[in-house]
Amino acid sequence: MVAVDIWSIALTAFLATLATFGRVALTIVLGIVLGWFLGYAAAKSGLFERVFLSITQTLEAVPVITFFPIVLIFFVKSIGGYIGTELAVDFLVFTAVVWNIWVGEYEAIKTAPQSLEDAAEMLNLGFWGRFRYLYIPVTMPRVAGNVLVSFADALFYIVVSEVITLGTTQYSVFGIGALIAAWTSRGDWTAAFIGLSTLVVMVTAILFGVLRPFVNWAVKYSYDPLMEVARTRVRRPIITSRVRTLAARNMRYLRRVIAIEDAIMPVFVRASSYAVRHRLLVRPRPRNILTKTERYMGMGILILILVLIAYSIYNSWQTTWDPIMIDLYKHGLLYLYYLGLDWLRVALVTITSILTAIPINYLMVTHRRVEAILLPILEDLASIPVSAYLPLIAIPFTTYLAIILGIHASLELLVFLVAYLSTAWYVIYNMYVGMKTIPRSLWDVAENLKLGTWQKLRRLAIPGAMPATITGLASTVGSTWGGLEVAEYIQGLNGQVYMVHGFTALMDYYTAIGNMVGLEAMSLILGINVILLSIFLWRRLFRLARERYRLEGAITL
Amino acid sequence: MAPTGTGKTTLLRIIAGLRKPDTGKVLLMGEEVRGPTPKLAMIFQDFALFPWLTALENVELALMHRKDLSKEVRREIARKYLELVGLGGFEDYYPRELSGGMKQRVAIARALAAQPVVLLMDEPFANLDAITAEGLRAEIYNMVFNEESTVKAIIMVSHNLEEVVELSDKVIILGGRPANIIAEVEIKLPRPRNTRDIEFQDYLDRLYSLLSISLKT
Repeated sequence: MVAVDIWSIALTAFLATLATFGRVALTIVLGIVLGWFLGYAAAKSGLFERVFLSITQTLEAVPVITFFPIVLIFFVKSIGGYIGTELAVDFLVFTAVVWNIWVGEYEAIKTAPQSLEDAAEMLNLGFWGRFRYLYIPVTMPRVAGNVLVSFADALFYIVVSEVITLGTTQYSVFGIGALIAAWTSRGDWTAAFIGLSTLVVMVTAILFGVLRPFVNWAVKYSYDPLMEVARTRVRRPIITSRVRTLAARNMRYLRRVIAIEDAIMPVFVRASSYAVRHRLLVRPRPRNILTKTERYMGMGILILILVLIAYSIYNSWQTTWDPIMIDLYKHGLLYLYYLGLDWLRVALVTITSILTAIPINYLMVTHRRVEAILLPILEDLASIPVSAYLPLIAIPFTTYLAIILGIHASLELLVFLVAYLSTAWYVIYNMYVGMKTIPRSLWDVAENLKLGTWQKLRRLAIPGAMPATITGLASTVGSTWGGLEVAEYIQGLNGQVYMVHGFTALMDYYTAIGNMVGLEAMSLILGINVILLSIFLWRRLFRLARERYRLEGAITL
Repeated sequence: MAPTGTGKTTLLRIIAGLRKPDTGKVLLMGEEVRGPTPKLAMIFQDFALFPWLTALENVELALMHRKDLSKEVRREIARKYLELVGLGGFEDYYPRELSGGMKQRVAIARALAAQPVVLLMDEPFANLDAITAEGLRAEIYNMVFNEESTVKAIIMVSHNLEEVVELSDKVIILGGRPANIIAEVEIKLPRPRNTRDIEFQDYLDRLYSLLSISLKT
């Protein structure tokens, strides 16, 4: 009887994971396909390019999840029912993953080699032909470079958002996140554990069965016109015979599959290092010049939007804006204080992540065997969403440790741990790409000069890894915010609610009690914060990394 | 020929119909060239092969606009041109698996497959090593001008003097800003030409001094 139970639980968990993965696949594929057209339009039209860039560059570094309550209320209230909830979930995940993909696709299309574009035009390929033979393939390496992170991000957010509490009503969709949450809140530990194990197994299967082969395949799309016969063994030309050609092709495939070297070869690193290098090195073509009509049109649209905003503020001042302003007047300082607290947490987590990433990466880069074992594990861990096992790790912090350390310290520790776990993998990963792509010759020089470990770290490994780490920082900070969001306010065991002092905790609390005005006020503050940050921090940091990276010159794999 | 930065490539792209001239027009057999046409085929400095397509697929691309041909026919024609440039047996290789010289051969096959009247070449040997370039130069004349070929003329951009004397019938030297024609030189040497001939060397000297003038203007 018990055995049957376990199997039926496992089957339910399996189906639920499939549903969750289905959502992830749908949003990612939809994002990729839409990105081709948006990226193309942005690369070709000056007006669209400006709009596209300012939107994506700002939203890329946004902790989307923090705006979730507002989105949610919109979908659940205006559409309603299971479909409304489903759409809310999908929309959230969509907005969490697309920016990276879109920026990558735009940059790939924008920097498509001029000679290939000329060739496509001379060959009269037509619009769809050019898409098929040029613009879509050219984006593949960038998509591949993003796919692991997108997958992990999407899983993280989807697992959280499958269960939504608004006021006293709970909305949920069928999925592994919702199931695990239901099981833990019921105290059904066996079931929760089986669910989590199923998720881990299936994440691993997707990673090694789908994503790795995809990335491996996409690598052939990277354009390096003058690269001489590298990496390929000399192949004898085959006399034109179909059978022999076919045999040769299959042999080649087989050899590729069998090669153990390839099995541990960090393909994601190859792809994402391509993405990082592409981002940092390819001299971006200047923005398209606006034609006169476009300039007038742009100005017209801008004025129209401003007028509409002004009108809507004026029109709804009494009903919407007045209460928000009053709320801000009353609680604004508290909100800012909480925002400061959360940024402090983010800073601490980021620094800790970087500090832990340095020795791990140094070990991996200098010791092949460590790398071969650790890297696949890290990739796997990165894709298992903290949000899924949060209910399980929260238990000791709310029971045993809470008694020893006191509830405040214990919860604070939990928040830190969860935020760290949702950040560290990405920091490690970004830094690894940077360290791994330091030219072999520099390592040789370091050996030759008999530099000690500390000197090698200080003079070579850390500075070499920094540009890639910094470039990744904008998105890792997004992940840290995600971690804070799920851990600052947990509604766990026995329906008890645990929260710390923090911005996202308060937003969650407002959502739970249905304080719409407060929620809107906080979203406003967050929005302003995000825009300021994007303008004054991320873009500058990114430009700095780009310049330094160029200065340091040839960094190749 | 022209010093770097004179606008050789730009001129070639205007001839190809890839760029609109500010003034003037390009005439091909009495008709104005208003955009890319199969009558003009281009060979690029960096070969411009689509890395995600095999050699055969790259050549086939030149026939895509011919809706009257079936897939099999297109494939056969592409195969024929690959053999013409000496790459029979390499149909299923990706560009990254080919050497520089072979890549340029694929590019030549692709250009020829479009059955152009005029072939445009933008420093086609600049990215090849000296020995490969020499071999390909010796062969290209026969590849392009044989009885099966539709090509009537080649316009080649280069700043390699030896290459120019070896291949050209007429050399036009550009210089200045905006670019002007500095000189026109007809090369009247029998083919195949030998780089060690005294006459060949004379032409080299003449072009060299003309190029020096164009650098000063």
